[in-house]
Amino acid sequence: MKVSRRKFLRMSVQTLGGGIVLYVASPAILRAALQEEATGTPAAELTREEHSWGFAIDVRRCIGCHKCVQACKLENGVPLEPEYRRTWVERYEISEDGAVFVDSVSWGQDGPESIYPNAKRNGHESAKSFFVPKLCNQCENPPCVQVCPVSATFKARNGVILVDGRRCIGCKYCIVACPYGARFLNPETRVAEKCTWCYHRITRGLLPACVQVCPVGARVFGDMKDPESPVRRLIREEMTQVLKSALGTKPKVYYAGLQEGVR
Amino acid sequence: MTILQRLGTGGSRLLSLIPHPAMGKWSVARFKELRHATLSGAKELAPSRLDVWLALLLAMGVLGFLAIVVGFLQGHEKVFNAELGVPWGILISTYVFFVVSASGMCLISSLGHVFGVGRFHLLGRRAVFLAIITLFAGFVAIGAELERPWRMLIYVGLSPNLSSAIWWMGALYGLELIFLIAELFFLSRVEIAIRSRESSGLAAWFYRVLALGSLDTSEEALRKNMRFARLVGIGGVLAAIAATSILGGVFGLLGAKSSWYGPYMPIYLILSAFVSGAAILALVTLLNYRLTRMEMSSEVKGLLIDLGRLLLLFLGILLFILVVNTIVGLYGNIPGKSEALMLLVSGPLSLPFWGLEVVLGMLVPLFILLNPRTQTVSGVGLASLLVVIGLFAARYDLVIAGQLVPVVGGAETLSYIPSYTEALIVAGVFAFCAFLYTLGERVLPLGESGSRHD
Repeated sequence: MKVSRRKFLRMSVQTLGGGIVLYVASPAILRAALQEEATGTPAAELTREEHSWGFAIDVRRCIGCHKCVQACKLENGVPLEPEYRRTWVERYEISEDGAVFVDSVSWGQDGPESIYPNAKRNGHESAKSFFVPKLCNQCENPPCVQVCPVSATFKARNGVILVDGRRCIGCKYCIVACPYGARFLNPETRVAEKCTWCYHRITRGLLPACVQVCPVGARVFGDMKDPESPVRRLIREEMTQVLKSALGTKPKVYYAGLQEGVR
Repeated sequence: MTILQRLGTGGSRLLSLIPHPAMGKWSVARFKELRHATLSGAKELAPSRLDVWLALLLAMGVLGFLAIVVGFLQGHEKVFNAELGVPWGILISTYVFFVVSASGMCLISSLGHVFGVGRFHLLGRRAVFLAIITLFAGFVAIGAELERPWRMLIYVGLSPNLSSAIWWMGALYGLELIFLIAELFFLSRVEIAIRSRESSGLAAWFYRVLALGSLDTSEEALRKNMRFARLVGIGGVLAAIAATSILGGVFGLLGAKSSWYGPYMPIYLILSAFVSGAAILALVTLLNYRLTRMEMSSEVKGLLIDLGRLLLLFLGILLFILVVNTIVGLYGNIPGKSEALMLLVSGPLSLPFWGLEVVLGMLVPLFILLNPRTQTVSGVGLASLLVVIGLFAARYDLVIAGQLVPVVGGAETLSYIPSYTEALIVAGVFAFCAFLYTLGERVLPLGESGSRHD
């Protein structure tokens, strides 16, 4: 085969160029191919609206230190009286004969100093006890959004349910409609309030305050589109369930190690 | 002729196709005759006693209004017990009591005005006027419970949520109020015009304004008014049914509260609207005659006996579905539902449930209405009084029991007892209602539109 000098040079440049293009682009192509396989995108590459946040709680890890409750109140300016709370920790005690006892001494706010009633409850022998952290489930089908007469509460495109305090009329229908008791009326602002998964933090790439301070990693947060996010990993590796799934609200807080009898 | 005058006296040709069922019983001459009878009848009630009564009611109403103001200034969480855990308290149950009663009165009065059934046209404008003020009283009660009621007026229009039962409830009760006011206007314009012509000075001017300036008192104008009254009466009936249904939906659409969830609530509320409406109308009509010592015609006596029969029918149906709902709820052991019903059957709400709602409000009235010896005007009056007390308790049971079952761990059951401020507001709303009614009875032509001297 006879190749002219001109043609040789042209072919060389083309090959080299193609090689460089392939070399530069290949990681992206490879990554795209792999991600397509795992159906997801790294959280960092998603815009604020493209995110699809998720939350998971490993009940077996929670030690009831209540740092999450305190951090939430500080971070979000929640009134300090224990009955006002965006997140709280319930303590369950299951007796030998299956009776369920719940106490949330000051909704978990005062931390481990609180003295929990011990062992025997109304003649029932205690068999096991554990803590269940609770917060807004940011439901896929949120009853609170459905019932608000003035559209003051709404679902952001990334799935988080927010309240526009300037529009809220304080009819308390959303508080009545929430099956998870996640809402309350703030006595200072006089409008409905609830956990937003620290919307002001997560939209800046930070973790919700409760997740940040949890010393045992019982609270896990991340993007549901990112297969490598901690929340996806936990859901993949553990058996999880949501609260009151029969109501069809499709909560986005997944619990690992949940015990029958938790409300 | 102004538009308002045309509205008052004129009408389209289409409208003349709608006959009025009670047409034969209405005439301008009859109104004039009645007017003089009322004037002579009113003398029988000593004015000083009426003034004391009005002053007492007004004082109570003002106290209630002050309690509302205190609630807003201090913050509801300080002076109301309905806040955490149990967000809806006695003000919401009072609201339900009033608006369901209003719809019931609208439906029962329509039996005469719209459907031409029996003697019910004798209820006349009193029923419509009572429906208007009880509806208004209901709005005051729920307004006092809202944290930011003034915002509601803006955002129900600016950012309505059409999937919200409360939005529809507000819109439909507002519509019902408009229909009722229009109905009262068309039913009484001619008589108001007569009063304007027969009085002088301020009174003449006052009635002229009430008649929207149209003082035509011809038989033709009356006929047209009656047709309009029937048209808006039909609108009122539809609005009352829709509004009461969606009020049931406010509770019945919530999956979170299994004791409320389901089609029971709208059905129960519509049935109890008839019970509530019949009882209040019978009670007020009777009290009106007894207090003014006016002699009751045999026709009005017949009307009261008819109201008693209607009450008996709907009370019986109401008791039946209450029993069914209670047994189904207890039998199924469904979490939330059976727990809420247990609170009524043998819990902290058992006294209002058994004592007031069931025994005093249903069984005793049923006995009175069924017993041939007490099937009298006084018997109907007593049964109605007991029914009204029982229904007030029933609304309380309905609203509170559903909320006392906690949705989260941390408490076995929640508790709620109205605070003094809440109780004062409720008393004030009742007093204000009675005040408006007494005032209305004094200045408006609310009497029976049929014969009183036969």
